[in-house]
Amino acid sequence: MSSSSAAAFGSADSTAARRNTKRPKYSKFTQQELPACKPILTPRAVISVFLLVSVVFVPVGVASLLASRKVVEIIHRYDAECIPQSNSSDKVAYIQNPSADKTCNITLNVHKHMKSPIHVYYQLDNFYQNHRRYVKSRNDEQLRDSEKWDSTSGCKPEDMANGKPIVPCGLIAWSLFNDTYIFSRNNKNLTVNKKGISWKSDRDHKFGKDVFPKNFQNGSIIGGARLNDSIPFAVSNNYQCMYEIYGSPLFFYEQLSQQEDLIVWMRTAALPTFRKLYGKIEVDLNEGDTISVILKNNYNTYSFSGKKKLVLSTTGWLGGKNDFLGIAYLTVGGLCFFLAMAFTIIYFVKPRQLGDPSYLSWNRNPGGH
Amino acid sequence: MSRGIPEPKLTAMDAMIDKLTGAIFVFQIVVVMVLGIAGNVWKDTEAKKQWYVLYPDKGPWYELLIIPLRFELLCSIMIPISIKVSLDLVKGLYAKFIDWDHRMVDLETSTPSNATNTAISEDLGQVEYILTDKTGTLTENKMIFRRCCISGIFYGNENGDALKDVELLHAVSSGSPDAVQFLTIMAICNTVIPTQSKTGDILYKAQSQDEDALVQAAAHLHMVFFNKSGNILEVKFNSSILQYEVLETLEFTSDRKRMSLVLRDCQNGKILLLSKGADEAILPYARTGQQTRNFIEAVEQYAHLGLRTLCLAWRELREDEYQEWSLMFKEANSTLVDREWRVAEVCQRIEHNLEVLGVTAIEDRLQDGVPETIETLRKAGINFWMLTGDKQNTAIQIALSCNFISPEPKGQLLSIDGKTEDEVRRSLERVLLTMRITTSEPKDVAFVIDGWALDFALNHYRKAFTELAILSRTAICCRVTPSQKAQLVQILKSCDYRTLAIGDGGNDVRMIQQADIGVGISGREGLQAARAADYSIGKFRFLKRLILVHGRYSYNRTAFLSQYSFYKSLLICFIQIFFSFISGVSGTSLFNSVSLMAYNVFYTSVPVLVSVLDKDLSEETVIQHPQILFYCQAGRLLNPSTFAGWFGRSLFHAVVVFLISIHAYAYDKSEMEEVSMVALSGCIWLQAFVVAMETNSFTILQHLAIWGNLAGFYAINWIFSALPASGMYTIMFRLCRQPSYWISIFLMTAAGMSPILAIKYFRYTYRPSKINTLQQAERLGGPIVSLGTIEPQPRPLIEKDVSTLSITQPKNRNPVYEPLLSDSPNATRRSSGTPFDFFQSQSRSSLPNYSRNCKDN
Repeated sequence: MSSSSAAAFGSADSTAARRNTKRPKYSKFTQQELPACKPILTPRAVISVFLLVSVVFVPVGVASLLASRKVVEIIHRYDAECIPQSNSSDKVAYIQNPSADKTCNITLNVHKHMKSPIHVYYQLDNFYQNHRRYVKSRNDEQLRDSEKWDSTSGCKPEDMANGKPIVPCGLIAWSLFNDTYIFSRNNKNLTVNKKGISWKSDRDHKFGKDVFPKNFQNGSIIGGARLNDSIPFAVSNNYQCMYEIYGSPLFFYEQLSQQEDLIVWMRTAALPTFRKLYGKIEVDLNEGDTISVILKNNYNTYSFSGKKKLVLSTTGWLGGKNDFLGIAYLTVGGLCFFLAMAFTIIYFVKPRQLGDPSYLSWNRNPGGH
Repeated sequence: MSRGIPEPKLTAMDAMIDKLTGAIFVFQIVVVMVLGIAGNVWKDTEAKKQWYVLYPDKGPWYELLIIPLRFELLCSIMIPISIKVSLDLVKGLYAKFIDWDHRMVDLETSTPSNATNTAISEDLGQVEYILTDKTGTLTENKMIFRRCCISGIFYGNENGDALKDVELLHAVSSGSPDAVQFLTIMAICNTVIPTQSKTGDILYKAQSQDEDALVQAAAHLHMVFFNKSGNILEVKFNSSILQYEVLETLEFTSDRKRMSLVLRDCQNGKILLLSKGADEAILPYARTGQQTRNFIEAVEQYAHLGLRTLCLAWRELREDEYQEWSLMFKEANSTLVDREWRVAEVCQRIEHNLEVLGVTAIEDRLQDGVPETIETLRKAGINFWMLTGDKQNTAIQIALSCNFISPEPKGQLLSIDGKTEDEVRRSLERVLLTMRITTSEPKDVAFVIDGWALDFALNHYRKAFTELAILSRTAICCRVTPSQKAQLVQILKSCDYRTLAIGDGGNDVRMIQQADIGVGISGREGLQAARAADYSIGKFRFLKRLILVHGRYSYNRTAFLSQYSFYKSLLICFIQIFFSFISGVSGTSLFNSVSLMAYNVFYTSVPVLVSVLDKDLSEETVIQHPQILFYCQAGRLLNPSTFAGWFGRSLFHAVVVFLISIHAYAYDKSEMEEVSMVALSGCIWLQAFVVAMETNSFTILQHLAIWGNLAGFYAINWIFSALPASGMYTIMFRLCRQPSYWISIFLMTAAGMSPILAIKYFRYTYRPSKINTLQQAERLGGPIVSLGTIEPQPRPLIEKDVSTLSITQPKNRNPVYEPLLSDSPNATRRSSGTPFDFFQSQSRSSLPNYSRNCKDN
């Protein structure tokens, strides 16, 4: 609006002052001038990276593979053989018949020396512990806190039985695995230590010390195991016990934090094939030993043709027997080595100058990539 | 001012992102439907046998919907909600970078650039057409009186400055009546208000820059207009003081194109009418018998030089004539209806029979760096249209001198004119025909059209004109009205071009609002344009930086950020989908809700936010090779095919993460929370490496964000793992102690990244894009051809060159008028390779061929 005029110069001081105030503040950040490192993919760098990866991965792969190979594992599938011949036509009826004798004898041969501790797992195949209906069907508050014994939200359809809340509620607890194994070697009993098979954090914080099962497996359909009612009162009298009357018979229940099978079971598996720890054998098994197992084949996997396996396994630094990591490491390491070699060969056969301005011809339609 | 209601602007990029989002949505629906059906089938066949799931035998009818709805819930993360937030954040920062940019501060007025609209920075990088105003945009709008023609005598032709022309000084000092009268009109026929400063200097406050220039020039020639009190004007000529009483002011309007003053000479009581205005508004009203040929020639000559001309005229009024007219004028002024029109009509009655005194020529200097800016931006593939209210010749000359059009034989200027509709049509068809033929030739063809012809073209031959607009890379539209400017923008927009309108005055506001991007120059004509615009800059030359640096970086950064956002959402979603295949298609989520939420909010959004600092090429490289903007204009970095690449990458990474997690954590380790955390860790590691691999320049902030985020991931999860109430209690501690966890993570990273690195390296080395080549050249310090700094240097006064050269061919009717391409250092550089290849150009300009020929594709 106002214009300059013939005499309008000479106010340099004031404009300079104004400039300082109006000018945005200078910093390397605001000017986008932060010092930056700008790596580019030179052949040398890329080939070295691939070589480095292969150099690291191949030994790690070999080590993993060795670790996995060192683990001794005995797997025995028993779901088929533990059905008596007479019942093989209708396995489901057999397994659902509470009065049938479910005892089954199997023998395991130790083909290689097994160092203690030997983990005893049961493995279920085709069992979807990760099914959405199943995995959500629990109430953690109820498990942790005795005050919340009646909170059964999320437990449907196993939340109430006979009009009373179930503790522990939900499908997971209800379907607790209930096959049992008794091991013996040379007719001498092999003790299976069932203490400490669950996570300590679960025992301490997830499952309450003063939470006791209530009204469990009292519904119209019995799912899986009852909770340790088999433990004689005399054995468990050093635990806090609860005496409860739900008509007859009388049950003595152990507190949840000691129900380790339940705690293990309730750590749901992400895959339909999974192993759960049953116990630990704390003596070495020698090569050639014959282990006889008396098992109670109670659990129904027949209706969905799931397999049941008994697994005895030692552990290495990578855990149980699993060749996957070792093989994958060797594959990736080998692939990287191959790429490094291929790029080196291409580099020497068909050298290409980086940043060659002759590729910068703007005449061509800058197509391609 | 006729400001329309500005519509909210959406960038081309946002539109593309919306399109991709739509595509993902469709994909999501398909996935949900397929999985929903599969889930129901599985439920009916398998799940009924899974007694532990305890499905009721017969559920209500809506049971069928539950599984699809669960999948919908599971897949809802496929569309990243965080992208909107991230984009808003980074867009705000792009705008701030523009505000903060020190190299876009106008030092003269110390105005920083300002981004009013913070949402459209990416569009700057995709501009295809720039429509620019002339006065005040390309030029400084700082008027300087250069030449004049008084009664047929030319002053100032020899030295280019009439104020220093001895003959004029002589004529004034000898008291030549014409010259004195001419000076008087220059001094007082205006609406300027003189004020005296404390030091005794006289300051002028003028509405118009032209008037200011004239008054200043008159003062220089000893006709000092020094006081205005009420209606009395006081002028000091030499040592005598002359007084005039203003009787009436006939104001300037853009229709009348002239202004007049009726005043009484207090010395002798005579009533005078003083007029000044455009030639076509003055010369037709010359007194009968006066020869105006001289003046027409003068006007033409001046226009050829790119000068603005005004004709000055006067006549004496008889007392009764004035009294009679005065009544009519007062009446007209007090009417309520159509006042403007009535007043104009009354003015017309007195403004005739004028004694034309002469022509003034005012120079409006080009702003610093305008030719370089236009040159650079044209190399970047941007087309320029000049829309001006000025005369055709003036416009063409300015266009030539600022590289807008090339002189013959490289360039060709086609003119569309005609007085009648028919003539316009024929002219238009002819031009269109020529244009079609010459499109294949490496020639800069431009057309020039004036407002009159444009009116016909827009109203009757819109189709032909639109075709012309597409074919022509350059156009000059003269004598256009604000609404025509807006219409032109509309035509280009309707052809799906990204348009940028730049202007400085109120008459550009509509065009600025209409265009995809409006840029206002906060100049001398006030802030109207700057206020209406999306961006305001102090000088035209900042446009180069605004587009090439800010626009390009914004585009590149948003392209990465948006596709990365899709990538990371798809990654986690694919894993969920794969997991559903091993969880009985029941819709179980592998990840817990806390992890999912944190994945989107923290783990994956922080590293990518610092991509706002990423620079693929340095600013200098981009400005030296503006052609690289092509990648942005053509949308090479964000389109369905690049998106497909990211889609494939997320699918591949999901497969890697999923397969490794479920195989490494199988059997006794297949605990849900652990598997979930292993998979999540894999995603986090992969995404950190993906961001790192796609980052071109690492500043400390990038390192902090990428690797700090990775550390933050563990920190956050350790915190959650320490809370007994959380589902993740102790999980992270347990995992971090397991060698198999770390081995799995490194396996995922290596398996996920090595193919990507290999592909990227292969492309980078053997199928490099121009960007890659420039990166390599820039960073290896290779033979990157330097153009020297393009930043404007102090420009030697171009007008001198103009004046010395121009006299040689003043009557050249060739519309393309060559001599103006003068040899200032900058002009030399830009004209290298043209017929005007001056001697220094060979040595000074090392510009190689490839960058010059860019436009020929």
